[in-house]
Amino acid sequence: MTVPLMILAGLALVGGFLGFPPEHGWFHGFLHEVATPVGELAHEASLGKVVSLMVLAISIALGGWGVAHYLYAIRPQTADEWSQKAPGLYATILNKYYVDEGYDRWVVEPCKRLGILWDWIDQHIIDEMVLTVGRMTDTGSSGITWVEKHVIYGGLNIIGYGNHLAARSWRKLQSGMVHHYVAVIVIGFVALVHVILLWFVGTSAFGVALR
Amino acid sequence: MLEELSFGIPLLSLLTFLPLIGAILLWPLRDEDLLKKSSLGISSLQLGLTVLLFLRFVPDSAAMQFSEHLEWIPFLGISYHLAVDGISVLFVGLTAFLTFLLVLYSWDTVKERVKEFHMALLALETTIIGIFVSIDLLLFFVFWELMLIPSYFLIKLWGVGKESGFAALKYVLYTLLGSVFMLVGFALLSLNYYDVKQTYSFDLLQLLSVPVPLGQQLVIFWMIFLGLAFKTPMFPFHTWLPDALVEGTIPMSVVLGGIKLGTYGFLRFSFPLLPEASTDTTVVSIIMALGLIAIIWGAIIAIVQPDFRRLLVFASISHLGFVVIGLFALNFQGLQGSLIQMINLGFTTSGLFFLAGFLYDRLGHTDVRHCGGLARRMPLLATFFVIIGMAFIGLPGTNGFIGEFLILLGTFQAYWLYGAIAVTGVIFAAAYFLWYAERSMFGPLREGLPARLADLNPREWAIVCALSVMIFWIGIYPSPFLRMMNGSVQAVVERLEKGSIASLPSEPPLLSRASE
Repeated sequence: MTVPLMILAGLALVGGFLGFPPEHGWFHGFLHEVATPVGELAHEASLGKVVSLMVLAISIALGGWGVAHYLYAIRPQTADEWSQKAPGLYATILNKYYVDEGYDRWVVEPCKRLGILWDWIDQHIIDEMVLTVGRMTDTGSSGITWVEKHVIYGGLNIIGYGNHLAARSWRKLQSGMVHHYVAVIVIGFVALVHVILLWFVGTSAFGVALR
Repeated sequence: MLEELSFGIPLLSLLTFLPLIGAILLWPLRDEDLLKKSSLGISSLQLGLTVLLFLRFVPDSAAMQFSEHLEWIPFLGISYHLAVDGISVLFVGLTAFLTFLLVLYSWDTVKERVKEFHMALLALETTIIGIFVSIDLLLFFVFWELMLIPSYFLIKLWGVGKESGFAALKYVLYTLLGSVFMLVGFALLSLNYYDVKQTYSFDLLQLLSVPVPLGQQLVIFWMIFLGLAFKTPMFPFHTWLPDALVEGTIPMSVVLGGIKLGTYGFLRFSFPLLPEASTDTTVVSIIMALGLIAIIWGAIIAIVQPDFRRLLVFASISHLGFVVIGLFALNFQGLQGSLIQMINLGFTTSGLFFLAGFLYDRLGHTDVRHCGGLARRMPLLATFFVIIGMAFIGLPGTNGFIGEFLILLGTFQAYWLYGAIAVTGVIFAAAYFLWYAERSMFGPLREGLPARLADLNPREWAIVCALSVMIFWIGIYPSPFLRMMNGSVQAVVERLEKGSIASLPSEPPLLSRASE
């Protein structure tokens, strides 16, 4: 584990200077491309301020290192003594103030449960609405197909079948015998004369004869 | 009216129809190897032409460039009018780039109906490039609808799921429904033009020259919105996406996930043509709300998806939410960020879909419940998985950072609260991607995996390398790309600020014309 840590430490040394100085350093130049339009406002920090902030940060880090060195290298028994004196405090610090546990319980798990719930809503409510519209179209078109088949085509078929039936019974009129046809012509002629007389004279020969 | 620049040769017509001509030329070929090589040749030529397009494109300009104009149906004012500007030029390049990679990807992953596949893919490229280069509304609409035909077959015939037929039909019907409203919106714009000029026109540049009353603008805006929102897809119109992308084939997922047609439409048509409606408080609030819901909704659902492709679908919905809020921040950074982010997602979302395809080819699934420790067998695949994934979630130094940073910058400037809500999406993005990567790639090798798991082959390696180059190029040195789009984005911002009525120096305003 030492070698990766050494590499990281080396990179940290370099990385820190990427942002120095804050106003005209490399990172500033990198962001310049995308942030220029709004970053025109000048907010120069004085060199003293920058250096004092750096000194403060480095002293805090060195202080931490010093305390750790004292506790683990110079007087290793100190830590054990403290853990016996204040076991509750020790356990809390040992478990990093239970931040991970709390985070897991209050953020990560609720997010997962919310994800499962929303996924269900997405599939069973939002998409269901879409599918319902699809099914309505489907049902509608099935209904229209039924009407088409049984009402419109059915109606046409009834007319057709009626014609068919009428034709079957009426075809007997066409017997092929000349005297039948002559009889029909004579009857037709008499009826026609009758109608014409009724129309123009107001009465017909049959009527006169009967009278 | 925007300035138009023409070019010696009809480059845009060539770019639009070269793939289609190529597809027809593939028809008589019988030898599969020759067929694939021809397809690769056509897509390489296409890529070469887009390089020429980029080299001759004038950056920092709002002009419509490489303009071509022919009458088509004069009495309705419909013309064959092609041009690109800063908004569309990068999409043309992206489409050619992705199609080229898709031909490579399908080299030995598509085993059935190889000829038909390549023909459909090239035809799809024609329709998509047509969408980006058309500045006549009806011509745009024709390509917009034509796109559905090759898409339908690509999802249905080569889809990996059992329900691919259903998914294809759902996609086509769903987006067709939205398009109908959009067509009505376009027709209303033309009718409004007729009221002023006594002649019809569907030409974007001519429509820009007449003002549209606010009431009509709102109606037209929502009509066009439906067409675009269904295609984008925006929450709550997104439910075709999981079906199409999970049941469909990987190349179609790459196209649908990577090429953001819907959000492009806002920037191309809605904003310039309907500036008053686009800046209307109610409109902005509703769409911002939909965008923010999409960010959180998509991200939270993505966290719990065991299937990587389904995870990517919801992650896409979340990322599209970012694009939408950037657009409706209605300021320079927001629009610029959204535009570059649409291009970025073309590299990152598509890249992850390619990787999902690589995994699917090897495992027969992309389900994290049945895989783990894959990095032990496929270190290269795992490396690129993490690189492209990091770009997807917006790590500084990658292209995703540039886009998300600009979008958030723009949104914070416009409405800090919306920006604050949107930022959580970045955190959730890290959660869903890293959690999936950790379980699938790292840790001990899961039992029950195929005995032979080959790492990336040279073809796959070329695909992810090409994508990674673009990711780092835009991530580290975005200015060539931003410069290409800046002029047009600035023009849209000015149009939004001035509105359709005030921005007409040569035309008297509506009221004074009426009193003459």
